[in-house]
Amino acid sequence: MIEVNNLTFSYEKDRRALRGIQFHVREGEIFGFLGPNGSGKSTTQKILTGILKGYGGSVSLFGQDLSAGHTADFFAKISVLFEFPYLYTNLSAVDNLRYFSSFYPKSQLRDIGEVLEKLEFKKEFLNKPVSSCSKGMRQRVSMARALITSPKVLFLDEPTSGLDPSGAVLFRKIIEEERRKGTTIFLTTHNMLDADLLCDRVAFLADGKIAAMDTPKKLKEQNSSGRVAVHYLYEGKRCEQTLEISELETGIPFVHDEIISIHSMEPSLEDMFIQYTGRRLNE
Amino acid sequence: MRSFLVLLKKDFRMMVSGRFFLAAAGSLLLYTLFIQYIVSGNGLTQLKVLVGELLFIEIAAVRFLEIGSMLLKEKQMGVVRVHAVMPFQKRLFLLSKLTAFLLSDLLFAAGLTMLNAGGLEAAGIMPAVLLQTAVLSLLMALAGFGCAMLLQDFKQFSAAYAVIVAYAAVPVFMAQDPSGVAAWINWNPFYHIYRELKNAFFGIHCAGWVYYACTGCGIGVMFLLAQAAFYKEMGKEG
Repeated sequence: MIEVNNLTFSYEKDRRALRGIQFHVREGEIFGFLGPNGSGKSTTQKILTGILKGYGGSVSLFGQDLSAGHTADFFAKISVLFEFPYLYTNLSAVDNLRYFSSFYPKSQLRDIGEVLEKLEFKKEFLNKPVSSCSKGMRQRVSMARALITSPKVLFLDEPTSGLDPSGAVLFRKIIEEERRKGTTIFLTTHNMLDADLLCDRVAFLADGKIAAMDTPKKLKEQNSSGRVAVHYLYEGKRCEQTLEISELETGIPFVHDEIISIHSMEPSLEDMFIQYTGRRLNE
Repeated sequence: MRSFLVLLKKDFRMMVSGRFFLAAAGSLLLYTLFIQYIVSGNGLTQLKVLVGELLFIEIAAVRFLEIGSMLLKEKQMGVVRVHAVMPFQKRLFLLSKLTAFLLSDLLFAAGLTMLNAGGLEAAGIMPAVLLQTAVLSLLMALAGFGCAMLLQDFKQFSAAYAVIVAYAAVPVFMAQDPSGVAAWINWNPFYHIYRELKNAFFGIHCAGWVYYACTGCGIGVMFLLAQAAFYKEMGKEG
């Protein structure tokens, strides 16, 4: 669905934002693009969405080379959820959605009320100016704008930013639903939980280069120490022991009265990011 | 065409919510009262001069500010970037704004001329007045669009506004004392537009193909510059 080869981009002569990145995204896949600020995430997304031109290398979407230009048909097949809820604040949620969706073929539009309901948008704000809505409600309208046109490729930039925990869970559920429908999702984020829970594959980006790319599970497994930490009670005392996983094959190899917990000492996705890039995501 | 009409409808809606039409109607009324008060008994010639001057000032100063404030608001809301990924030709975003402001300027010019010059007299000079109004309106709207796209906030825009409007209004002030008109004024394009607008009120057609070629090229070049500024804004970070 998305094919990127040796992509380079410079804002100025001596400021290279992308240094030859290469990846592909399969149809119906959720692909996570992870990196700290200034790593080139947004630049890559802008190239893929046709906003930035003048790049090196090749980029194709829907099997079509983007250097040939962007047609209205191309834009009708993609949707972008920006990090901030960009909306006409003097218009209501419904009027915003009516306005933005009026550029798309009617045959691909979903029902505004239905999409807003799915996003748990408060009914009492439906016809009030967006300026009176909270950030979370505005983010729901932005998400509705992205979903209402039934895109084939959905670009999401920090989709859960500005949402409370229940809102974040709801958005993840909706993103999963979109994937099940066959939508390809390109997720740009700092949020490791979103990446870990949602993405089929992730790419770690640092200084305009991809440092590692695989499924979150494999990235963690490849770097796992293969050990587990066992917490247990013995003669009324709370104890802890670290074991090789292979030692557990024949059962718990030490005396104990009660096992409290067994934690795999698998690294987190964030640990992996630091290991591969030498940087933290929120730097 | 459908996309253009959608954009145009939205721009008119923004103009209504920004009370642009209310302000234009207020200006029309105030100018008319002022003109009628000043020229009572002084004849049609002075009336036409005054109408020409006020129309020029209104289009040059107020429209630049209005298109700028509307765009700065859209920039602030971030919606310019959303339009970058919408399925229509991006230049329509600029064309719809130009059309909306041009139509409102033509309506204003027609109203001011009709109310002050009278129906029969106005009908004779109207095409020429509207043509010169269109030239000025397009140039000022494009300048306002470009400045709003390139400048960061209203403070910077206000500084640019002061410079551009002072430059555009020089011919009107100099015309108050014709003996003081210096040769360099010929290099100010607004001088020629002002002169042609004034001539239009007297039914004088002295502008040749050079004038129209220059203003046409000017509008074309400014359109391309405004469009480039628009593309730059779309590619900016959030």
